Amino acid sequence: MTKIFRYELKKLIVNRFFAILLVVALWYGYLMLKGEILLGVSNTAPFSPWSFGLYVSSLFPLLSAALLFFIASLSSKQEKLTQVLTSASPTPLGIYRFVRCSAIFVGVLLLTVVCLLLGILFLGSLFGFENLPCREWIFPTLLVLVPSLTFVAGLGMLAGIWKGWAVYALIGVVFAVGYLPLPDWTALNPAAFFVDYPKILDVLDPGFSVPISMLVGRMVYFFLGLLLMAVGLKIRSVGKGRKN
Amino acid sequence: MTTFLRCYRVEFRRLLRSPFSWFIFAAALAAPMGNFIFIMGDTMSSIYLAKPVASGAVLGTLLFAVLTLFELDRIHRSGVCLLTDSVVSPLTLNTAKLLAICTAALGISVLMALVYFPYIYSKLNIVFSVSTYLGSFFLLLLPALWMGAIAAALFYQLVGRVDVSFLAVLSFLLVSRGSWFKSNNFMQWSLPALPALTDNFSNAPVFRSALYTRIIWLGILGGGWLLSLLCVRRYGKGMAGSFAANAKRLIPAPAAALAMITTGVLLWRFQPLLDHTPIKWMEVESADRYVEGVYPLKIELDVDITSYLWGTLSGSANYQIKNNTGQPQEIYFNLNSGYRIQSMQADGQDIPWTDLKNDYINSREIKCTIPATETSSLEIQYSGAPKTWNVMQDTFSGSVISRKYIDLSSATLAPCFSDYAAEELPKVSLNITLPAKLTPVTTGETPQLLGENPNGSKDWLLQNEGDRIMLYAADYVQRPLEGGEMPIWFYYSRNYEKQMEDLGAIDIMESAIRYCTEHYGPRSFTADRPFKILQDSVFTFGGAAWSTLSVMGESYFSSENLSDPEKGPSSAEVLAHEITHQWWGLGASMMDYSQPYWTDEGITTYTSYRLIKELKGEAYAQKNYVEKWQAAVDDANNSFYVRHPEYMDILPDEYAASIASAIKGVNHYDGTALMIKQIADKIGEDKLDAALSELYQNGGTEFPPYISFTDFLNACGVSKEEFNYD
Repeated sequence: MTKIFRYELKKLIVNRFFAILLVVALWYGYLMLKGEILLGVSNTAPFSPWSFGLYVSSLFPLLSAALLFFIASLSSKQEKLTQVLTSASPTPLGIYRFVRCSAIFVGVLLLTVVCLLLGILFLGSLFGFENLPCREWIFPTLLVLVPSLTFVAGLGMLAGIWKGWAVYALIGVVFAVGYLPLPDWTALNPAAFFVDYPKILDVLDPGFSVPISMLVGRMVYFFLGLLLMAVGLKIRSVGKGRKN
Repeated sequence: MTTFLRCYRVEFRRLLRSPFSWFIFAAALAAPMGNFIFIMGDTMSSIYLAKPVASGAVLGTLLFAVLTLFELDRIHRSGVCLLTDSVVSPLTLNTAKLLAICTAALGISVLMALVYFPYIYSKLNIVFSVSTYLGSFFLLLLPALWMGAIAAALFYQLVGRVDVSFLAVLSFLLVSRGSWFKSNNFMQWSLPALPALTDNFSNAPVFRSALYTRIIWLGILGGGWLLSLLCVRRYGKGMAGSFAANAKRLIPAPAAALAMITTGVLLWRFQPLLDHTPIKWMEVESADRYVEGVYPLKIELDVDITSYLWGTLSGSANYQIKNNTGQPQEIYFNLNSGYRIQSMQADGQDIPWTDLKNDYINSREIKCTIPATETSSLEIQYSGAPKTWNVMQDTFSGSVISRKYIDLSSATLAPCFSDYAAEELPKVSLNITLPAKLTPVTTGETPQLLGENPNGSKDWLLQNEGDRIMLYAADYVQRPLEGGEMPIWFYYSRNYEKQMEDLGAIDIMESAIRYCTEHYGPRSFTADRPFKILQDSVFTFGGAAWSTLSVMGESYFSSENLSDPEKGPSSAEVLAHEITHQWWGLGASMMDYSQPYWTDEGITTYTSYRLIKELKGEAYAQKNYVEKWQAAVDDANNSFYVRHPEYMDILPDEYAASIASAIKGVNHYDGTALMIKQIADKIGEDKLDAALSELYQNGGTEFPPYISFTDFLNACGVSKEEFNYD
């Protein structure tokens, strides 16, 4: 199993797609850091959880694009052609799929970690690493990425089962929804929350806090994402069963 | 040919089936959202059309270069090149691949134009122009994708390495857009020079330059690609061996390639758009052309615009010249470098002339000798297309001839007499035919309509005192503005006619004129030569004033500007702000070398407040101006770096400077206006008005004629310690 995982992970990250995505994400991240983030969000410090949350939010569309590209590879014609061979292997199909999905998540995680490291290195080199409240950044990072990426992954898996090109179309949709004027708690990408909420708190340098509505919104995305993924895996299994 | 077409069809279909192609197409489609290319102009078309198109063009160049490299390398990557070479010539295959990619680029450009249309149309609204939209997508963006593909194919066919080829394209792009060449229009092989797009006037200079640059690079890159095609490796030979083998089969190809490259280079070398002013133009010493006792008495100009598409004209200039010396005299004229003299006659006799070809700020000198007779008539025939000063090439500031807009002045309209001294200024008249929709505006007397032609065009007579005329013509609405103790004519684009009525903007603009005239003093114009406020193209980059003409930037009326809360809470109040700039900015100007925030914006914002206080009451002005200024200043003071300056100190200088600029930017408008208000509260509004009136009429003393911050404080009788920007 480990061998398959390592092979899948290598296939995913040792190629042009990954290199291009990584370069683009780092370049974009750097522009964000030296532009908006360095000024500090809503009069907070550039290394406050609010500012870092905005930085992570700004990376979300690119990370989603990477995730969807990887998911698209599951539905490619080449993959479908090799299914005859993979299904004949002794590894149970369900486990094989799980391993491949795990490789995708690790691939996205790698991309995320590199971008987060860029943020840490950039801010640390300017303000001193000892001044960075890295622990305070964990919650906003998880708040942004886990629900949204889970939802996008679920949606992407369903779209891939329906039509291969629909996954690519989803990339455009993910970018486009960022421009919709939705309330902060309903937004797939909660970038506006990190700008608006500290102003509402009406104190200087507010500690990081999240209103209940926001938490509920994020949980809805997370569980909806899990549901969509489960449905996707189920449909794949049923489809495979019928063919056999 | 059949093989080629079959190959092309196969390659095109393959392209459409490849997920990588779709990734590139999707990225190219999203590229206009990048908005990362700096565009100088602030018109709606610059912000919402030029910027996305520029980003799309530059990113698209790279994306299509990557796609081309990916496709050309496909058979080598999969190790089937020996097989494909035996089926089809690699030259045919590579050409078919490139053509398929260029076809896909065309499709993507069409798709982009369609996808972005609703958004851009909704933003541009009343200033949307179909020709500008199509020109932007199909002259600026689409060829950029083609150029990226051709350049990538060129490098790949030469070196056979994907990584090296991509780096070569990337370097080529960065060099062309880097600091060395960014002001050289003809170096811009990917995205042609695009400083702005006008909303209401003519973008012909941008598109003409883009078209010419495209033709140059199509020649150079196309020829280079053809040569590199011959270098495609065959029969196990290296570059030279393959070139020899391929050239034997395609005998005309090397000659055709060289012809294309030569054409491109010659088009560059002998380009017709820019003059040849020396690089060190500031060191050029002007020659003394003054001849005592020789001067023009009367000048009659007859100008015919021969092509609105290419911007050409032909003209006849008749000078009555006084020569009191009793000797034949050499005289000099300045004429735009793009024009050529056809003939020159003195009293009906042909005379020789010399074109000195000494280009200097878009004109050159023409020398001729007039007879010894006391009064002679000199007739000069000339024609051509005006050239732009090469130093200003990347801004397109200069003359324009197009069907929608004309900007011709002095030596760009007709030869101008060099240095002379006359007891009385000569009279100059100009006969010109203009399209029906264009209204002429000049520095001189009010233009006279002589008649209409069967094709709808109109004949105009323009007159002025002096030896030259400035002419602007566009589809203007012309209306008087009252309140300035003098006739004021306001010319603005017809695009804004309904908007101006809806906003009730004229009333508030007249109130602004009345207020400024009463409080600071009238602008110095007389009734027979009315003051004209003219909305002009974005390519003049800001306002300007000559003689009786004061020009305001076209973006003043843009939705973006009218909704700028920095300038006023309502659109009409923003226009009042812009009218106030006719006093503070053009009539007199604030500037201080040691105080970057002391500009015309602060005093203009304060003046808007005082005007609105008079018109709408103190409560309204307090809420919408003073409280807003205070909130903006408070917000700036709450900035993390203001509260924790120790963090600012540890930042590298470049970051610290940009952060300080972002924080203190509030001082340009709100901070300065609030400070002036505080001074008014301390010394009284009447005393402040008197100080400002004195400064307006007499100018500053520290950096005359500019009014420095110290001049202002001294005039108000307050000290720097009490009121400053810190």
